[in-house]
Amino acid sequence: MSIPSERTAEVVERGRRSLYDHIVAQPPRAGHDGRRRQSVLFSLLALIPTLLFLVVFFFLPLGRILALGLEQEAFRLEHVRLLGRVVGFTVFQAALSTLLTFLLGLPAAALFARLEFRGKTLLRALTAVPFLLPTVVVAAGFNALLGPRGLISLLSPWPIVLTGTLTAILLAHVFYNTTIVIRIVGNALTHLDPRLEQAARTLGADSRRVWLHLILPVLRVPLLASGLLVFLFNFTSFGVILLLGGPRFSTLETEIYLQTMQFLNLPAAALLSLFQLLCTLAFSVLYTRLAARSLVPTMPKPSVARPPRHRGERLFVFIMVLLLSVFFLLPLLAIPVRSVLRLEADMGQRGQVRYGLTADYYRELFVNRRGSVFYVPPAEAVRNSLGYAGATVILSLILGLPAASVLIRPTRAARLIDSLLLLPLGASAVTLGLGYVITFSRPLWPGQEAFLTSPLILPLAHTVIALPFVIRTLEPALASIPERLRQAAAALGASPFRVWRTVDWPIVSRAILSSASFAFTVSLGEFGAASLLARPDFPTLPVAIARFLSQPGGLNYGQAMAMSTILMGVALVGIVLLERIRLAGIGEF
Amino acid sequence: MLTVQRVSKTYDGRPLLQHISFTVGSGETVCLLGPSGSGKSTLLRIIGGLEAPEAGAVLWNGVDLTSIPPHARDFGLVFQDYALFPHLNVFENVAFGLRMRRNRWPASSASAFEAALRARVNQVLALVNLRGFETRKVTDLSGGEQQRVALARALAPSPRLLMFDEPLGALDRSLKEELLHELRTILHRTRIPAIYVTHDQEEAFAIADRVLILHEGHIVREGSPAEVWHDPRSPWVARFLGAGNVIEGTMNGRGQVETEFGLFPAQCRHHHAVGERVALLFRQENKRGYPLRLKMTVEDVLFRREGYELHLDKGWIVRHPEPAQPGQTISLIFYVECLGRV
Repeated sequence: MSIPSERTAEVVERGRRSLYDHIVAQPPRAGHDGRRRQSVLFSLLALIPTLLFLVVFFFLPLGRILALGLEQEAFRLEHVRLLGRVVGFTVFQAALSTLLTFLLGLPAAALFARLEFRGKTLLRALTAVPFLLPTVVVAAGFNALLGPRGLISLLSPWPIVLTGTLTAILLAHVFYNTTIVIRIVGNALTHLDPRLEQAARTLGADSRRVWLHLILPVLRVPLLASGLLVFLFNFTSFGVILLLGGPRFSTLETEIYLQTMQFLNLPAAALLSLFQLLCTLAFSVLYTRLAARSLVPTMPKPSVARPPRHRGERLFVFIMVLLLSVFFLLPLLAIPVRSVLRLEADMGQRGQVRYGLTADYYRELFVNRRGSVFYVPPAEAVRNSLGYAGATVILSLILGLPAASVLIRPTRAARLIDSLLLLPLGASAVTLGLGYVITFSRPLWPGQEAFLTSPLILPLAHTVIALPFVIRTLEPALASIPERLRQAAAALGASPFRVWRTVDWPIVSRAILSSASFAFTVSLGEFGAASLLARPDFPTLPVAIARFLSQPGGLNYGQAMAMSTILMGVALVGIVLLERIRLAGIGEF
Repeated sequence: MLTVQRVSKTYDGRPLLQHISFTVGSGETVCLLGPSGSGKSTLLRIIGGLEAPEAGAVLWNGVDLTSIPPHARDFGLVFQDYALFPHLNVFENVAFGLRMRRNRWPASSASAFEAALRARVNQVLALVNLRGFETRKVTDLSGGEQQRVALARALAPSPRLLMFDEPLGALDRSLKEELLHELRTILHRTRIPAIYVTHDQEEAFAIADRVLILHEGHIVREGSPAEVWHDPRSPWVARFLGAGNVIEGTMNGRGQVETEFGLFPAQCRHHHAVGERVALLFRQENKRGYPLRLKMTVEDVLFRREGYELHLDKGWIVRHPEPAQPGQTISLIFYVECLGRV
């Protein structure tokens, strides 16, 4: 049995990782022979729009950051001091988060790899869900649980409030990234030849020493790889730090945002961005080196998992299952619960304590309380987000399809361009947003408004972010169309169109649908770029949620929860949809 | 001395081992021989403590080992696919067991321990003819070399018992024979008792002091290789060893067996009732039974290293020093033994 989110998580993770390991693991490519050949000229023509797009909307903004970040203005002493302070905390929190992620992830990986128990598949899928959710939803989840208006603070006898503390940041990071450790280390552990362990046992190693002297050293490559990946995600984390840490904490990402949006200090932001890019690049190179190393001695048997045998193992299973289900379910459940639960001090009426179920928060989404022009009813944020996501889908398909169909031909130029197309994965969304702010704050043509205010700017940024995923999804599918099927169909008398219609279309359409869902989900949940680029009167859903979360009053809070519930719902529907497409595809080729 | 006492184990609800009992004396090499799926590897893993028996016990010098975990049993295990530690070089692979038993060494300094360790590792590496391989990566070695490292690794801590789980199964024939000979020498020299699991009777006969043949969860025949070969005692063992041509028939009232080839005197070890199905073994080289001349037709002739293999009518196969023509009728002397009840 396979759980949807589980497999989708794998795709997303692979997508994210692919920048780093695509040099090692190229997507399956068709052989030379039999492929319909097209002239180099045609290939280049098909690539021109995509390349042009990337040049204008990715490389140009990045170049502008680079230029600004290297100017003398950027290197003022206070900026360098700021950089030092920010980098210090960024590395500190990332390292600590990574450590904690392993503290939970390693036992969980061992649990899933080695033991069989009821509900295992479901629990494993559950641990993968956070990875697929928008950051604001995760932040809202922890807020609904541990914030000042959260369930624990208001309902439990111990009013614990953790938002605005390092603990909240760390918890959310662990929540996000544990699945990476479970997946990478767990998979390696599943396929580790059990005889190695048995050999070590008969040579006198007890369980502790088997782990210390055999399993951990043998798995050092997957351990390091997952560690690096988790560190990278923590290093570039934005929404969690901003929304759960609050103003006390600033990492490179949040500081870029603050310098840009609050202090309008673009040189400082550029300097930070530059450093951020360098770090990401360094990690990527490290990761690539690591992934190129040989992995683990495996054995053909698919699994060594077995039911727990003695009391110690049963206790381990019990504790881990309890811990994981509580840790991964509570923040997710807290959002919808809090969105329909009126608690004390709501509606801003102090002293009047009201409890109970309510639909007010959802109703209020359609009301513009302040009646201001710049303050639209929150429901419009939903509409904006859907619009932006739709535009992103269309744009990324228009740019991605021709690129993917050209790139499946294994030429050296194709490989180079492939790497080029994947580069946007390495830049953070906030950096991209900053690049746009610097580059497009002037009108494209004299006499016009600044391009930055165009409603197209956000879909364009989201397309840059989504394009690598889209191309990575389309490429293998297009390459998988067997040429012999085409020839067979043609030999049976099918016209070229009929051939395309009966052979290519079923595969292509599914790949298109699947990459469209990717683009849609990416755009819908994207927060970093949107927080810099979304116009105040056209907020996206994540931006609106963040705004409501940061504002006082129970009503605002409730509305944030209501919108988070909607966003979470749409994201989950997207995940399931994606999975359906993938599942349906398996039987056919 | 190892004693296995009435060990039972089921697999997927079917009995795999049923009340298995045997002993391994000091310096003795016992071979567990059986077809794949006969549970011989499971039995080995039970002895090693890697699996728990459902009933019965494993004892060492009379002490029950059932609750002793594998790392405290002091039994060495050699796997078919070597199971060498890929992150360690040859030296460290061999040293692994010694390092795990660091506490057993007299309280000596770290440097004294390292020196002793080095001496012991070099000693066993010399024993398996791998001197000079210390710093090699185990992944770069050939199959035979890897198995030598695995053997050295199991030998290094001087285990009380050595267990071999089809150790030569992955090697080609000539290498197999070479290693088998070396292994025999090493076992004789070290006097470590050993259990050797295999499905290959030639391997078993070459290495074992005593052979236990496993079938359907039972030990169906036990004895020295010569005893087992010369007197298989059951049709299944005779067929499994390829001892000769086995035919089945029915006892009649005059102490004879009625078969499709005719009537034969039974001369069985036990009394068989009239109408009981009995198997007879016909072979040429073993003179235990009574002689009988049979005329048969040759259907096919194959060349073998030891002579010719004649395929006769009714599916019989015999060895023959000279070639024959298909269709030819030849007259052969067989010795007939009773294998007992079918």
